[in-house]
This record gives sequence, structure tokens and C-alpha cells, in this order.
Amino acid sequence: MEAHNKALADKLALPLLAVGALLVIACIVMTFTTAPLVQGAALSDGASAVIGGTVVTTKLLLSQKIFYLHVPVAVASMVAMFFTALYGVRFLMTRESRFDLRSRVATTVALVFVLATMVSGIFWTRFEWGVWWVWEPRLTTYFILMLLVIGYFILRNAIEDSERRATFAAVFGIVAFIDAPISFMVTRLVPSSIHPVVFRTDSGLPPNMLAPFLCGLFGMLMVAFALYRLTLAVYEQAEVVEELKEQLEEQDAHWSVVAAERAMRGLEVIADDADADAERIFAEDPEDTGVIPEHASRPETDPATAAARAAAIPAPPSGSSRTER
Amino acid sequence: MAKLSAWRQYKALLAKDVRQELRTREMLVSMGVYAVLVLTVYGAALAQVGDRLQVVSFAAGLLWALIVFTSLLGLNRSFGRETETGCLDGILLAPVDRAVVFLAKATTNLLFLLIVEVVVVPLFFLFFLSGAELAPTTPLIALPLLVGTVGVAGMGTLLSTMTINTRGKDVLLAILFIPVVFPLLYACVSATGVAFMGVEGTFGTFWTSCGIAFGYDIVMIAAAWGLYEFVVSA
Repeated sequence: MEAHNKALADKLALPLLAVGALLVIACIVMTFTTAPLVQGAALSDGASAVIGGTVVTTKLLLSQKIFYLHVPVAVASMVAMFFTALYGVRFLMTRESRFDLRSRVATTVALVFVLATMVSGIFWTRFEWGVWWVWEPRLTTYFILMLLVIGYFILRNAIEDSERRATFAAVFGIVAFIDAPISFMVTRLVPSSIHPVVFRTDSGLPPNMLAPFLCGLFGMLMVAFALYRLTLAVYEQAEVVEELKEQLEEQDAHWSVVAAERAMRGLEVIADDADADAERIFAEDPEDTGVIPEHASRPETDPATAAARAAAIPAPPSGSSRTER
Repeated sequence: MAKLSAWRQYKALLAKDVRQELRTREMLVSMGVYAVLVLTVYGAALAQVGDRLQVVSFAAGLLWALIVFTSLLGLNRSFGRETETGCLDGILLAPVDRAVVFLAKATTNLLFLLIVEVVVVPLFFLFFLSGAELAPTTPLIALPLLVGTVGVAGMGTLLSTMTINTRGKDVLLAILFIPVVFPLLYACVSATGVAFMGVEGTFGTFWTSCGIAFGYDIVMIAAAWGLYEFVVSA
């Protein structure tokens, strides 16, 4: 069942990536065509306010367009973090390395989306609130989340033993996932001295704003899922390649042993041959008392013997090993 | 019976840590000296603003920065000692529940952190707040200090157990510890700040912050308690 699901998910990954990309593009197009400009800064006193050195009045905010991409990206990063923690729990329960791999890949996707959220968020603060950075609840949360995700990878890199690395990474992934909502809640509930005037919490978007937003949301989620599946497939294939490599190396080692044995046998045959030659020479010249006479010292001087030896030497090694196998 | 024996194990582990510390005084001395050094750096940092600035308004932040950095140092020490002497292996060989090991270690860390705070917080007042007018509510900072230190000790024990077995453990503990403990820090600074300022009508924030810090303690220590078994046996 699981194998079937996996095959289906792998097959769906590329189409989903395409559909997701199309939806995101549709979202961007709609953002700039059908979605109306938003009245910025619903100031309570109806006048103007100074934020970060610039006077903000109720004007049409082009920067609000960031919202249509920023929020979906943020949602996708949270979903990815959720899967980091989920697979972390499953790894701790089963100790199967495939869950560790999934957890790691989910965190990689989370890192991409958290960084994208940070970048778009910084543009938002700059162009809507007039400053590059505010310690505002959502920004702070994402900053902390970014540090946690980076910390996750630093932790992984700092451990050699793979079992321990997987365990610690799983534990830290779970802790990070618990920590992120708390840090959001804290920065939300504890009032700070910075109260951005332009802080809309109006829910319920009109249809011509909702459509691009939903397109962006589902598009981003599809892209995130496809990225996850594709990265996972790459890592899994890398593992398969690694396994094949090991098998090949093993086979290679086996064949070198066989070749060495064959060479050894060949040498033995040559040695036997040489012994036989020596015995034959000795038999031909029984009076030999150890001093080899001139004509017998080099058997190769006899053309017939030399030819026979030359023919005989290579043949036995290959022949013998073939028949043995 | 089982409960009693777990309690005895806990007491034995705690007594071992305290005895070891009393013999070497390694952790307390290094933390105390480090805290004084941080105060010295604060002195240099604030030297130019001196009288013109109301230190009270950001004293809470300074105090908590001091506590976080000092506890980072202490947490690194607390487990270094265990692994250097092979003590942790001995403890793990004994039939002790891992949760008890965690609780004992967290309690030790809490104890030492509190001892250091008892010395350092008056020093902080002496150096930076002796000329300032203190609000009558200032003693209330004891509550966020206690709640915050409990969380720091609990989370720090889990994370330092992880980082002690890694390359570059000192830096890694900071990298993991500070983001994880950030919500607690934020809440505690807020509560401590309210207590320092003592403005009428802001005490709702004080209790909210303390409540959140307390909630963080419960959630995170429960998580650390549950996860410790995996960490310490890995």
C-alpha cells in the first residue's frame, strides 16, 4: 500500500510542480490586474501619522501586493516544519532511517520557504511601515524560526555518527516545532512599546482579493509538496547509487581475488614446468655433478623446447581456471 | 515502592552533583566570574550615557542578557564534567530511569543558576541601579527570575546533553539554546521590566507574561522530559 502511495506521489510530483507554478503565476497576474489596491493605514484619528520618519496617510498601497505571495509562502513553511516534527516523531518511534531522511528533506523545504518569507516580510515592513525591521510578532516569530531551522542543519553537520545525528535532529525538530507557536503567542500577547499604527487584522477578503490569495496559497503548497517529493527522490536515488557502488566494489574485490588466484595457479604451473625441465635435463646428463655444462645451461637454446614452453605457458592458467569455474 | 526508589535515585544523583560541585566549585566560580565580567562590559557600554539615561527603563533587558549568557556557560560546564570523567556512562549503566536522570540534572542546573543569581542580581543593582529611584514593586522581579530560570535549566539540560557529544559544542549550544529559549526570554524581560518600572495599571502585562513563561516551562519541560531518553541513550 505504502509502495503504491509512494509511486503515486512520485508520479504526481512533476505535474503538481507545474500546476503549482501556474497557480502562483496566475496569483501574481491577478494580484496586479483584478485585485484592487488597498487603502493603507486605517488611521484611527483620520489624520496622518509618522512611521519611521515618513508621513503615512490613507493612500493606496501598492506594497500590499506582497501579501498575496508572502502569506502563502509563510503557510507553506509552517506546513513543512510540521512534517519535520511529524517525521521526527516517527523516526524516534521506529528508528528507521527513511523517516530521518524525510524529516531532513522537509526541513530543507522549510528553510527555503522561511527564507522567502523573511525576504518578502522585510519588503513589507520597509514599504508599508517605512522601516526595514520591526520586532513585530510575525517577523520575530519568523526570525526565530529561521534561526531554529539553520540551527537544525548546523546540529546535523556537527555530528558524525549517523544514528545519533538522526536522533538529535529529530529531537531538535520537535522542540523547534513546539517553540515556534509559543514564540508567536508570546510576541503577540505581550504588548511591546512598538505598536505599528498600520496593523490591520481585518479578516474576510472580497472575492477579487480572495481569488489570487487562494491561487497563491494552493499553488505554493503544491510547489512545496513537489519540491519535497523531488528532493526526497533525489536523496533516495543517491542512496540507491551508494548501495550499488558498494555492491560493485564488493564484486570488484571478489573478481580481484579470483584474478589473483588464477595468476597464482599460472605461476605454479610454470614452476612445475621448470621443475620438469630441470629433471629432464638432469636425466639426459646423469654425470652432471652440479656444474651445468655449457650446452645444457640454457634450455631455451634448444629451439624445439623453447617453442613448446612458449606455447605451453599461457595455456594452462586460462584453461585450468575456465574448467574449474 | 517504585516511586520511592525513583525518589531515592533522584536524591542520590542530586547529592552526587552537589558534592562534586562543592569539591571542585568549578561551575559556580566560572559562572560567577563570567557574570562579573559581563557586568564590567555593561559598565563600559553604558559609561558614556551615565546619568542622563534612565537605566531602569531597560534594566530588565540587561539583567536577562546577563542571565542568559551566564547560564550558557554553566550549562556547557555541567555536562562537560560528566563526560570527561565517564560519569555519565556509569549513570546510564545503572538501572536508573532516564527521566530521573533528566530531572536530577535539571534540578542541579536550576540550583546552581539560582545560587549565581542570588550573588549577581544584587551586584547588578549595586553597579547600575544604586542611584536610580526604584519602584516599590521591584521585589516582584523574583517571580519572573524564578520562572525563567526553571525554563532555562530545563531546556538547557536537554540541549546541552545533545551538544556535549558534538563538534564545537560551546558554540552549538548557543546556536540551539538562544532561539529555543527566546519566547521565555521575551516574556521574562517583559515581566521584569514591568516590575522595575512599577507603573500603575501595567500589572496585567506582568501576570500575562509570567503566565506565558510558566506555560512555556510546563510545555518545554514536559517535551524535554519525554525526549530525554532518546537523547541520553543515543
